[in-house]
Amino acid sequence: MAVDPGTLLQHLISGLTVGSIYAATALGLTLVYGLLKILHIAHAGIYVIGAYAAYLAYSVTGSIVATIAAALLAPAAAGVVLARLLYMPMLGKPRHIPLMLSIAAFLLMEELIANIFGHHPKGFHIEGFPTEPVELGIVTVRPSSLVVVPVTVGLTLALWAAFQRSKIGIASYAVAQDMETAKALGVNLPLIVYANFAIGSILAGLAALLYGIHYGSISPYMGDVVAYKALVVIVLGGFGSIMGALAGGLILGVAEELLTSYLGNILPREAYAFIVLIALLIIRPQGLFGRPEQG
Amino acid sequence: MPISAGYLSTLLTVIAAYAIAAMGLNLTMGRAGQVNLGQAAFVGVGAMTSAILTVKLGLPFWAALPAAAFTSFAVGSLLGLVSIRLRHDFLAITTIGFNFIVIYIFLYYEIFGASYGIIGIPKPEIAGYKITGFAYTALAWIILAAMVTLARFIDRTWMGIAFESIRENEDVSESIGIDTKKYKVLAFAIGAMYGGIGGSLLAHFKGYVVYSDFSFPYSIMILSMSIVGGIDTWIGAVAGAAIVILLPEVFRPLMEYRMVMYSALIVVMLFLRPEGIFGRKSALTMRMQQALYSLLGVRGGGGGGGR
Repeated sequence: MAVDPGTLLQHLISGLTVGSIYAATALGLTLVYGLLKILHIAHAGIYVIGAYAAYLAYSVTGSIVATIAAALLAPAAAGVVLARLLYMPMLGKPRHIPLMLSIAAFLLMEELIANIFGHHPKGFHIEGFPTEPVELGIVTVRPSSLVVVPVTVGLTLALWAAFQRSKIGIASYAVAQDMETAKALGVNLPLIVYANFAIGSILAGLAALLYGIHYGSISPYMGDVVAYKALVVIVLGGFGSIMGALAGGLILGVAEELLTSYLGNILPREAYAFIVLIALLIIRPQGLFGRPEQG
Repeated sequence: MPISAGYLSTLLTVIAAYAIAAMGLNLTMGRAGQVNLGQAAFVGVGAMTSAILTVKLGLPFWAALPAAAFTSFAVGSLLGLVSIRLRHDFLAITTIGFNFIVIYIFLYYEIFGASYGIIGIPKPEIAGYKITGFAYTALAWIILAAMVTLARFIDRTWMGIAFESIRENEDVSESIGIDTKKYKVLAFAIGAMYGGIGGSLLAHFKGYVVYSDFSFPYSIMILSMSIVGGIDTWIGAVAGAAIVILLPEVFRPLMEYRMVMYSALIVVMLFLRPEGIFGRKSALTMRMQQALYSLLGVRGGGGGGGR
């Protein structure tokens, strides 16, 4: 089968766009896992909250600034509340207990939103944002792709750099290494936890906003696939790694796109991610780039 | 609210079928300590086996039910083989992923009815007499009783003891000569078989199967049954199934909010009463155990961390 370079590039771009959204949602998950070793599935619920906060803000005010603020702040608040109510009391319990709580909390948020706003998707169009594809040499690109990919990649790099230098970042690494020792050395654990939840949730809100802009609609169930795919992303990238989440997201997005385009219909698109997940967990549980987990 | 006979028999049958599925979860998670968040997939494997064998191959229920038990056992041992290499939350997300893969396969391939499902699944027959209504309910409860008996029997075998030993400490179990790999696979396979039998009973009762009835939220529904009733007792699974099925029926306005309720139940129970309503570690038995342990001068096992 001949591979046309234009088509290939086209697939790469749409894979990178989807992958960016995966990465943005997985960042929050990876921060929380690095810190507390909890698989924070409810992160996907926060993502949906971000989408509906943006939708509400835009339909009420029509202002883009208010929309962005709502999309970022509502998730941040929800994330901190969730950390306080759900996870902090469960530190030290067997790991599957907070996981079950997290899944339950996710379904709770998702179904509440579905019951409040209706089960059907809602149109999400920012007035004035161009939707007509533009020709760039041999490929046609949707303008949203030109926003989604650079914003995600840029923010991830900024986040990574900030974590290397800031006090909160360094304290987070300390907690991730050894929570008890970090506490003994004077790290304010709740502050670090809430800060990480807030940052991760803001990124989820951003991902939700990007999703809405890219697909032109939001739905209460938009978190479904992301919730579990974000797991695949952090497994790919290595648990707890910021750059790993970015790489994992982009790789998954591109791989899905290429597999479904060139391998044909052996399996549905969504199945590949989970097969990769299980295979990776068995063969290389530390992820593609990660080092083996200690302790 | 008047209760019609058909409605009552439907509720009772559905409770029995899900009670069997929840018992499977109690065996895998409660007994052997292996997290399984994809039990609905096995319910689906059993239901689809029954549907395909009876509708497409014309086999009777009496052949389809054991076949459903067998295929779900086989698929369960597959997941069990994976579990050998994984623990805790890694295992948990594998079972979630497994649930998704199974659903996508049901949805994707024509033999499973794709998005329409399979209709026209026959009721069981004995000597030309069709078992429907309350007769079917009775059959479901007889099978449930048989499954309880089997579970209680397993408890008393070496296998049952090995399960509990692995739950308490896998490494120590291995070191004292328990073939942990074999028993982990068996814990998944038998738990899955319970799910498959429940699924087969549901399929023949409803007369149709469709992929969406086995999606991940249904795994969470079955999990909520186990957690509400108590994950370490058999009566817990039955009581949990009854509570979780009946609650939205009793409080009709809750119907729309069913999933909200299931997930809220899990959250509330895990915080307030993680051992479940009918769990083995009720306050009374715990206190008696502790008294016994302190009398013998040994540390109580299984109580978990001191937080």
